[in-house]
Amino acid sequence: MSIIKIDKLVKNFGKGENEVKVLKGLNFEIEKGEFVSLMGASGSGKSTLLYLIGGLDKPTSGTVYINDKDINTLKEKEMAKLRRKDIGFVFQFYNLVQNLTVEENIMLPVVMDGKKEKDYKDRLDKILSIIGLSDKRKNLPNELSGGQQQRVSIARAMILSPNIILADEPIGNLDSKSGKEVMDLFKKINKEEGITILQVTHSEESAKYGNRIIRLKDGEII
Amino acid sequence: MKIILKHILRNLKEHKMRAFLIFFSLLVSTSVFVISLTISDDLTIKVEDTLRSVYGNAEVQVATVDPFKLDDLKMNKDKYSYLGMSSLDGVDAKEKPISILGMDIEKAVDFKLLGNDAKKLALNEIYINKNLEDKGYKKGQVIKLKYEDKEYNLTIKGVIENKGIASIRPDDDTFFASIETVNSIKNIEDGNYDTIYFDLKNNNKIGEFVDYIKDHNDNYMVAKTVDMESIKEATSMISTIMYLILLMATIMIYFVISSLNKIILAERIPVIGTFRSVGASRTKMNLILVLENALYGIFAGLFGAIIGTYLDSYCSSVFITADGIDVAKSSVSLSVGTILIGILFATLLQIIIVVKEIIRTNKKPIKDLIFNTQNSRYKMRKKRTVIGFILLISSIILFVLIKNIDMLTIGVLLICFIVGVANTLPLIFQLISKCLAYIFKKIGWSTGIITSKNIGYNKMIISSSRLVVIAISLLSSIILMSKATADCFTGFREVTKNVDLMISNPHKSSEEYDYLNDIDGVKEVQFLNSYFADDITYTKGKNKNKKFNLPPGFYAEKERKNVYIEEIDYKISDLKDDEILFDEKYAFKNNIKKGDKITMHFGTLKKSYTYTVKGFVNASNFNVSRNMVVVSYNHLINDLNGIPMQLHIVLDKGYDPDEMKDVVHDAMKEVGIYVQTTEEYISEQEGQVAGIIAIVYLVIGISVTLAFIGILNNQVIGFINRRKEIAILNSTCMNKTQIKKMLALETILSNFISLFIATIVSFITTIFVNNFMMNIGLYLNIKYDFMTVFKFELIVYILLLLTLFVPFRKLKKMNIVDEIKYE
Repeated sequence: MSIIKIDKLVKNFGKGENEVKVLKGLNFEIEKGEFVSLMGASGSGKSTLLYLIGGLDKPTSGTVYINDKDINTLKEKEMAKLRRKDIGFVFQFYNLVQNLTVEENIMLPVVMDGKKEKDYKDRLDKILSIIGLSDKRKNLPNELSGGQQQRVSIARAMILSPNIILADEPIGNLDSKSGKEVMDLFKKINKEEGITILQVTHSEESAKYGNRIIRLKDGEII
Repeated sequence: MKIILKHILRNLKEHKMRAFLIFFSLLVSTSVFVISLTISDDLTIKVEDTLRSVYGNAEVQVATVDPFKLDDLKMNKDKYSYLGMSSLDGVDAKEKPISILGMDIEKAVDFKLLGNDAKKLALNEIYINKNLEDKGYKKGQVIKLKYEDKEYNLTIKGVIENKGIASIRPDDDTFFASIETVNSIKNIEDGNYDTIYFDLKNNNKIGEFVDYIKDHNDNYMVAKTVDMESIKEATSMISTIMYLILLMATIMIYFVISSLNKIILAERIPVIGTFRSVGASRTKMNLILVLENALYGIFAGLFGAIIGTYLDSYCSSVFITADGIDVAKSSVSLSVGTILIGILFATLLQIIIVVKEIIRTNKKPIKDLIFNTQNSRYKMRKKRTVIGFILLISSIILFVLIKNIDMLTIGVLLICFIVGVANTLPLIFQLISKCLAYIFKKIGWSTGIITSKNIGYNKMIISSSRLVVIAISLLSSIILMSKATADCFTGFREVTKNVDLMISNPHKSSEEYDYLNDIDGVKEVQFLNSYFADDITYTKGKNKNKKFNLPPGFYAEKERKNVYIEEIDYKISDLKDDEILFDEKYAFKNNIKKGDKITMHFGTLKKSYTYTVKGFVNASNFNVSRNMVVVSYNHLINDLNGIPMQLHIVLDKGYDPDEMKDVVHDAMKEVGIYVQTTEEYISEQEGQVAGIIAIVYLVIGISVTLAFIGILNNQVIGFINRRKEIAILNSTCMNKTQIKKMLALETILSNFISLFIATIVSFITTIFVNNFMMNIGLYLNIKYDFMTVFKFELIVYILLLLTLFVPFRKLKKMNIVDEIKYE
């Protein structure tokens, strides 16, 4: 059963003569538990595709299905719920809230979901142990290295046990050692937690961590 | 929730300066709000308490010049208790004027007109109060009283507390005796009084009782000891002034906070994006941001309510000037209600200011928020500009068209005008920017071209400029208003510059003071003739017995010596007995025109006269309220009041006014008169408004500080938000010196344009403020003094230019690579 289904997805930017067709009617599916890497040159539309799948942006036409649900038909509140429960985001620049500690950043989706923090204490401990930052739980993001910050952002994406993690160039801002650690972590959570991962990457090496590669060129799958 | 609260509190902690600025702005607004709410009631209670402490249970006072008996009065009540008093004015062995107040001492204690320590006195025994004891009088001392060529020995039986009427500190020494003592000295029968106090036991009928006595008895002065209506009327004016200050302070604070909030939100956009990306809905995010702002309101409201309550007691003491009476303590105390109202006000104000921008920010797509794709270019919204233009024009047109405009309408029009200015400013800046770009292009100055474009299209510059225009124009108006208040006495000082001594409270007609001319050193005696009463109604056309908003004072002059009243279109000396001149502002306020026939009804005098309005005068040198009318001298002296209000004495050259003051006082041998040098008189009058001026200056001081810190903060954050733009310019086409020049030119030009516009705006806001003050009966004669505004703006301009040091320093430290690597 496919967890993500893309149907004739089109995204244009600009208007009139300045209109740029970034995605030209894409069709593909991702099965539950897959680890897919989205590759392509700059401007090929891979990040745009990721944001459309995550509901951060709206398509010009076509449909994105998550668990057979057309996400474009969802209301703002339902979309927020989907982002909280089904999808976890990991960004290139981590996007951590700088004045919250590591554990507070990780627990942010729990708070946003209106759940009790204490109910997620065990889950938090487990995730912190998975990402190897149990001893840094009280630290602020600026007290961590880039790789550690990215691991916190992955932990935040995992806390509510989402079905999917969408990662936008997760190691793009990291040195090779930290990059490898992060990719190992992705592999681990994909295997152990069964979370479907869709990552956008430039790196062939990190793309190989996944079990499928989708290549984009000028808005089309090649 | 705990995490969200932590996040909010850490935000406040991390941006202490901004948090403090918002907190302080709200605190000021809340304090002024609390004062505005409570001052009227506090003043009313304070004045009432003060008067009650003097008059005790006495509710009505009936007095005449000649002694009268209770039976002489026609009254509509038989259930009352009364206390008669008889007084006499004589001199002591040293020819010093003294007064004896006679009464039934035990009854006076029951009336609470004297303290409990006063006991029955035998014939020729007197009491002194503590004040007289301090002056050197002693128990057992015998006072020699000279009264109508006879001498009497009065023995001081004891010292009584400064309570009731014994708490009044008159200029002349006053002793308290039994009524028998006074009547025997005056040689009149028992049961004769010159004043009777009534305790009616039923407050609701006091007005009826007073009116009945007035209507059925001639030549009596009848008054309530505590006239709540008059007190409330006077205190509501003060409250209205506070509301005006509140309105202006709030408008300015609105722009300070709104500008800060925009910057705070702009800086926090990626964080908002992060929250949204982890599942916060728009509503939830809006609530988080509103909660953060509500915290400012809660704390500022709490402290504002506390400060406002304590300031209220200071403000109300400033407004009450009771010569010779100990003013009652403030009745306002900090209550849970006041705190809740303060918190509610500050929280609502803060939320109203920020909520629109919060919702607008959250409407942006998450992708734009998370990657902060906002640019620093100002995008003008046509709808907003059009609305602004409509508000701007319509507020001015309506202000001109509406006759007899009321306070509320002026307030609303002032807000519309300010909002109109704020919304049209971006358009004005863009037009100016285009003109500047054209000029710089012609002279080929590339830095100038970039700068001129920034002036019209940079969000931060537009935001700062808007703040400068609104804050400075409102502050200019407040400064002009306070200057006009401080200048109230300048005109009077100018007119009386040749007068050396002023004698207040004379009791005789002008002719009886001829002897003053014989005093060595006295060159000339002038008389200021006027009549003030609060029971004048008028009939004009269909307006039957209409009450003036503020009763007029009548003025007349025998010959034109000093220009207390400025003639405008008719000579005062040409006035006939049935002709009248109105102060121009007072006439405008009461809708009185030249040629109108007005019948005035004088309640106390029981007379009515019909006058033809012959023209107008300017009475600003004479009376700040300008509620003056001028009548012929003969009419005033013969029909209204034969006793001058003041005597003005011009001395021969070489005579010292301070020394002559005592000489004249001793020569007059008249109880109750008050001789002062002109300087002393004016200083005393100025002293009465010094407190009010101090409050106004305090508000100005706080407002200037707030506005300046707000603008400075805008400049600094503006630079921080433009770091990337500056880094790109530096990496591609400009060196740091060129960037410095660009920033300097931006600051010089944008602030110059802002202050130029502020000058025009302040001209109009001053007209609004002037009319508002006129509306509440204060004809302050606020003139648009360009030099004052210019000096103020010059100081502000220099301070604004000094803020350049901050971006210069930051530019020097800036690492270009760090800034552009995230682009």
